[in-house]
Order: sequence, then C-alpha cells, then structure tokens
Amino acid sequence: MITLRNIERSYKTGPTQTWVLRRVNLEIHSGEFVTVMGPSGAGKSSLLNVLAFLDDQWQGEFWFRDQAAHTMKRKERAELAKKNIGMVFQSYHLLDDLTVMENIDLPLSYKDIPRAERQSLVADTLDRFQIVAKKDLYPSQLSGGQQQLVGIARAVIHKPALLLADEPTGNLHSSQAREIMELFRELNQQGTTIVQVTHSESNAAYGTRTIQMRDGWLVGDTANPNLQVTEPNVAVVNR
Amino acid sequence: MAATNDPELANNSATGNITISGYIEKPQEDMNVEQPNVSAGYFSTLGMPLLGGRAFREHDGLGSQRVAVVNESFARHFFGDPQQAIGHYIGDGTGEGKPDIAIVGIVKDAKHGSLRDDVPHAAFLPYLQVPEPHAMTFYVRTSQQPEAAESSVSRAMQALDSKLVLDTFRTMDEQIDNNLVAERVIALLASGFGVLAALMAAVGLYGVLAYSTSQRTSEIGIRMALGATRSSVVKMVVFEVLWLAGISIAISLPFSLLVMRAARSQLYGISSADPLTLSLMTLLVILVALASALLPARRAARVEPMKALRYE
Repeated sequence: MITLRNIERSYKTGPTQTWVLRRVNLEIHSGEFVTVMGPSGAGKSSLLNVLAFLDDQWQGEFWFRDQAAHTMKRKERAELAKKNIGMVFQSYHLLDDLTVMENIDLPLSYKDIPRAERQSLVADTLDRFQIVAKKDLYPSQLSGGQQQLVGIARAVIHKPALLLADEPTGNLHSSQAREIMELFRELNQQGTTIVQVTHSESNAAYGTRTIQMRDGWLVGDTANPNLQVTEPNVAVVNR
Repeated sequence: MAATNDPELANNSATGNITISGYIEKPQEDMNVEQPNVSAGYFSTLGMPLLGGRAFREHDGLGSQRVAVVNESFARHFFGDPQQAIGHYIGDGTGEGKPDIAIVGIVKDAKHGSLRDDVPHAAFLPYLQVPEPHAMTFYVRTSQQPEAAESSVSRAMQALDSKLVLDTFRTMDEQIDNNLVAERVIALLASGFGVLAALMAAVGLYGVLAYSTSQRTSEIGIRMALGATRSSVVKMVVFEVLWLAGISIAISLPFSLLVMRAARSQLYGISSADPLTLSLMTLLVILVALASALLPARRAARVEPMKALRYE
C-alpha cells in the first residue's frame, strides 16, 4: 500500500538545519496494523504527517497504492488523502461549535456526496459506534473517551483504506484507552490498514508490527529483523 | 433679450398681496403671490411656454391697460382651470379701488427662487407699467459661446451709454450651479463622510475577520486535515462575511428607508426610496465586505494544516 524510499525532512532554524526524518525506507502492506514507537523527538509524528499528506516539504519517494505521490502536486496529494486516509488525533480535534453529528459529517461535507446519502452514512456511523444518543451533544458535553470515539467515527466515516492515529489514547485513562484500542483492532480486522504512533507498549500489542524510531532514523522493525544499525544513528535496510 | 426685477433661481423674491375680482377669499387664505416685473419677450427668452392668451408686448406701458400674465399654478389655484383665468382682473391687495389689472396670458410653471422650492403662485407684470423700475436683471438667449456673447452684450451696452458697466455676467447653467452650492457642499460633505464611514467599516470588518480567522487557525487546520481544500476555506470565510453583510443589510435597509423618509424634504431629483440608490448602496456594502474579507480569506487559505493542528 505504502512505499517510502529515502524520505527526509528537515527544518531550518536560523543557520542550522534540524533533521526530523533521515533516509526513511518503509513498506506498509494493506491490512497491517503498524505501531510507530520511539522517544520524544524521534520523528514519529513527523512520519505520520508525511503519511497523511499534511506535510509536503519532504524529499524522497513516496508511493501510495502504486501512485507516485512524490511527483504529484499539492492539490493532487490532498485529493489522494481525502479519498484514502482517515486521521485520529491525540487531542481529538473536534470542532467545538458543531454537534457530534455535524462533526462526524465534516469529512463528507468536503466530498461530492448528496445530502441524503451523507445523512444516511452519518446515521449508520452513529449506530455503528453506539453514539446515537449523543448525536446532538457538543464536544464539551462529552468525556475524553467519548470525544475520541467521535474522532474515530469521523475518521472512518468515509471508509478510508488507511487510518492514521497520533497517540490516540494519550489523553485517556486506561479503561477508555483499552476500549479505543479494541475498536482499532476491530477496524483493522474489517480491513482498514492502521498506522498508530504511541508510547504505550500495551497499545503497541494490539498492532501486528512495530517500528522503532530514534533521532529521525528508522532503527527497528518487527517485520524486518534484518534491519541493521551500522552506525549509532544510521539504519540500513538489508533486502 | 428680456429683463426682470426678480431674477430666476437667485433665491430672490418680489411678492405682494393681491385681490381678485369676483374671487371670494377663504378664511386665512394667503393672497401673497410672486409679482416679478418683466419685459416683453421675457417668457420666450426664458423658455417658459405660453399656455393661453398672450405674452407682454412693447406697448404694454404706462397709460395703457394694466395687464398681467399668471403662471399655471396661480391660475389653477384661483380659477380651477388655467384657461379660466384669462379676462379676470387682479388688484394690488390694498383693497382700495377696483382690481384693474387684466390677466391676458398663462405661462407654464417654472421654478423661481430655488430648485428646491415649490413653484410659487406668480403674477408677472410688465415692467414698463411700473412707475420706477429698478435693479433689473437682463437675460439674453443666444447661439453664441458665452465668452463671445459677453463681449457682444458689453459692446451693445457701451453703444447705448458709455457709462454703463456690465456688473455680473453668467450663463443659466452657472446660475443653477450657484443656486445649488449649498446642496453641493452638503452632498460633498455627506459623500466624504460616507466614504470615511465605508472605509472605517471596512477596516473594522477586516480587523474582526483577521482576529476571528487567527482564532480559527486550529479549526481551519482540522478542516483541511479532513479534506477541505484551500478554495473551500476561502469560500467559508467569504460566505461568513456575506452572511454578516446580508444581516446588516436586512437590518439597515428598513432603517435607512425610515431615515430617508424623514429627510425627504432635503432631497431633490430623487425619491426617498430610490431603487437605484438603494441597490447601489447594497452593492457597496457587499463590495466593502468582500474587500475586507480578501486578506483574512487569503491568510486562512495559506494555513498549513500540520502547524495549525499544533496551534491552540
């Protein structure tokens, strides 16, 4: 589904250049549940932003479903993301002045879908996530776990092939976190490819594969035991 | 060429009470009418069409039958039908003696003191029947350019009497402009304040929008992360501005109609609910709103979703 070749990303701060991703080579197949782990500043969220097409200032090759995203224009990448990717955020990022129903409808409102069909999709999703009773509530009236549930419902309503989650349980207590991770496992079993960023080993256990990052380098991959680190900060993929 | 002691559109007035033979005055009726002393050829020179009877002639002088030409509103007011006025007699209003001035003609109404005032009831009298006419204003209808006409008139006057001096020479257009100076100044000031108000509204609206857009950076980032394109973000900001403008128009339009109705007496040449003026005003509000939305909308469209999602 995804192939990254020598992906690099850096920020210029004054005269110095700070690298957040260094020559990242990665393949993610359809149906995988990948967990990206590593210490703070390792480049996990930066990698997720690249995968979500939220960041387009990187260098390297990025193939998404056999399409060369690295040759695409910004608009084309945005279109690709809109069709194929759902995003779940640590701080939920629900819009405060929209109800649960309106928040869930948001991604559909940017697609060319008739109103009646949208309403039906929203109703199905509310039902699927068992939040019908909350449909007219505002985010501030929900608990953290409920807000994240709405965030996930919003991310999957358009049936994305890839679900990206940036520390989805970071703001939740353990029982709520467990429920969310169970939901991710269920979505993955239904065919959605998931990439999550987390610090939690227990969350990682829900995944099928774990990637380790450090200082922007990919330094470990359970799907590729031959990945070797030849220098303290350099990882080489043996094929 | 013609002359009068009561020039047109010069905020001038030469009025006097009259009596009309056979006319029974209503209680408290105002019998004061405009009574300009004019020369023969006055109406044709000024372009005031004769509706009936005759205009003054050169022989309408002292010793001959005293005559008057009244305007349409005079005739309509006192006689109902303009044509009925001819042959009636008017007097000088002192009540002494029998009215002895015969109405011999009717002319079409024309503005007199100013463009804003209603047409007064007027009874024109031949200046040659006035014992001591004074301070006359002369009108010349000519096909010449005004500059050429001025020297021709000067030469003609010098030929009559070398001591005569041409005091002020102006065209009717200039006279009308002079008559409208106060209105023009008020209009200029009103326009100036209007432009200033529009500018201040635009700056204020821009400030509000710029602030609200910056407050919504995170929301815009979320929307873009969920599939909103840059053009849809611009549309969202512009739509909100148009919504605001629509509300303000809906509130201000009935209010402005009320104010304009109250200011009806100050308006000349347009009605208090002039559709063109109201349409242009509405369009101006929309344009000002759109102009103020331009920069915030552009700024919103440039939001980087990745940065905006970190923005709290």
